[in-house]
Amino acid sequence: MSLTQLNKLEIAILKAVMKSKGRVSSYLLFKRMKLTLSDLMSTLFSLQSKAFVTITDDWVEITDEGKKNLITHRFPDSKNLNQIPSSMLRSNKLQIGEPYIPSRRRLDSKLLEKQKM
Amino acid sequence: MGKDQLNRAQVTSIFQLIQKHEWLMNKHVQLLDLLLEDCQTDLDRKLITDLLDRFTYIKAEELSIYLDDLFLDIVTTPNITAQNTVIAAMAADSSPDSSQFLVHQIKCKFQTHGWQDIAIVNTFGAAFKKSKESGYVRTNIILVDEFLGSGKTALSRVQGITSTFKEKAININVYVKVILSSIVGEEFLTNNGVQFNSIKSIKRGISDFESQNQAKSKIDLMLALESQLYPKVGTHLLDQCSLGYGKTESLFSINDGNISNNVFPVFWWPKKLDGKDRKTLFTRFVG
Repeated sequence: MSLTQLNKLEIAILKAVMKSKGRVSSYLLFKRMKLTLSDLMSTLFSLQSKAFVTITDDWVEITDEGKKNLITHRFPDSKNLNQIPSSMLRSNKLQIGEPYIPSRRRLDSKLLEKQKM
Repeated sequence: MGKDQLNRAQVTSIFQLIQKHEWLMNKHVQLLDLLLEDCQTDLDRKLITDLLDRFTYIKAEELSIYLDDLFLDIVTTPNITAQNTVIAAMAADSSPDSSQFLVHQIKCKFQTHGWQDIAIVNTFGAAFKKSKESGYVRTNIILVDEFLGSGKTALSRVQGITSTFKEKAININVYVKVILSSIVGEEFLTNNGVQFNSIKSIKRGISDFESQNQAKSKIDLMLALESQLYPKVGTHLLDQCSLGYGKTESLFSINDGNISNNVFPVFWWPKKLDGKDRKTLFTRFVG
């Protein structure tokens, strides 16, 4: 099944419609979601354009396609949190065994004392 | 009114309005601003909702059909031939104008249907030059535009052309043909003896839909809404555009182009009385 990317708001609204036996009035949805009417409409119209909901009069109904996609999105954004983003990695990575200039501040002070002797 | 204090009837009516008029779907943010910020009472909201129900919104594909109808109207005008006619945009100068867009769009239809000998110019003043070039064989001048508002501009164009030819003692026939026209403009031109045709008439948004008493109270409501707008933007004075320029009370938009100043300003006026910008359903270049 082809997967359409849904954002968190779209998933939340699809879930809310699903919980209401698949059909809910726009007003009830507006009250339950605690969104601005503008945000609710933007999201609903986006879902409508993807054919995940139908809006008739002021009733919002989830479609079979909407149900399938909602279930597929049960674990959204499952990224590995231990992975460092590429934008934060330094560009020139030292190779193993490659000489480098050590930071004097980080050197063991005892080592420097021995050299003076 | 706080947007979170909406009741069931208000939310339902907004949803129903958008479902009924698909073109509002991409403009729901502006629509909500108009209904929930600018309108103070349910009566205001009812008025705006009723007006949007009466709105003529012409999409690109529909415009193409209207152009076909305009072309048909032109070529079936009695005694008109490609050789004796000049089609001229209603525009007066080089300022961008919807009538110039219209002649540009329609010229290929003349080519397709074997009327390639017809002369087409993009200002009304150039019609005389074209006629003169033809040795005054071209004595049928057809002025075209997308919309006829109050009719005053069209009448002045007809009078201007007629007097130019009269100076040379040439008799001509001038026609005005448009896609859309306000009832006010139609009556004005007809009363002044102008040969006029339009593909679709646009009634006055309030006065032609309500009883006299109802119309008066709704116009008062609209004037109250307009009093919340800044009195001057660019070259436009709100007083002149009140209820639409020439009091035409027009409700139409062609494919989200530059909205006509004949449309109620509450739908396109860009500034509130306090000078802040408004989110408007339509846009007009105010200069």
